[in-house]
Amino acid sequence: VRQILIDCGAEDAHAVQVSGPSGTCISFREFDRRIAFEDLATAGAFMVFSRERDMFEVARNFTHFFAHESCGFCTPCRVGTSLNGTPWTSSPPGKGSAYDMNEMKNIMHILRGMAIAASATPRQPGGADMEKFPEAYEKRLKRLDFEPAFDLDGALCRRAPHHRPRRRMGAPRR
Amino acid sequence: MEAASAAGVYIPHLCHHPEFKPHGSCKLCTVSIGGRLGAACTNKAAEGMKVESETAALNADRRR
Repeated sequence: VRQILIDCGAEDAHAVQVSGPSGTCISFREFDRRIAFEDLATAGAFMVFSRERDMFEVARNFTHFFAHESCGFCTPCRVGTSLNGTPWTSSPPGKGSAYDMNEMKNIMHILRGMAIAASATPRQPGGADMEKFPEAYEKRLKRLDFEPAFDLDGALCRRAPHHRPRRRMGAPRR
Repeated sequence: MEAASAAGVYIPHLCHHPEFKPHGSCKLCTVSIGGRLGAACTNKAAEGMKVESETAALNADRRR
């Protein structure tokens, strides 16, 4: 992989997605792996991500892609891909919880084993990605241990802009 | 699925019904067939086939 990156001038690569979204995502720590059936099997697709890219956003994008593309025939994939999209959309920076991470890991496990196209389903985004780019995920978490999925303070804050105090009786109109 | 039922072995399922053609969409009946996972309703029984259903791992997946 390193050789290919050098050949095409991608020197500051951070990650390479080999063989499309359902393939394998490797981090910069693994660029010495080989393109081979025994290691990284691919039909030739290569996506290179530079250091400026946020791997969390990359995985979020893939997750949406799979939820959109699932044919819907079998339940684990139809439900799993869309469930897997939920924590991502509801987790703005710093708002995700360790619970979301665990849920995603569980869903990935089901998708891998049970979906009819287990070999061509979303295995990577959110799955091994989480282990390979922990820093990208952890900075989206409020705390690394348990955090309730519903944030009361956050919900109240979000209401604030629309919630204006009432004008007092007799107070001058502005 | 039908071979197992005939032998008195229950495999959990949702979409399968003996009066309909196997569909294989709910995947609840996923079993380990010679080490590979597959739906019990759509895989045909064969001579010498080794099928595992009541394993801790499979039951955990069914509950998830």
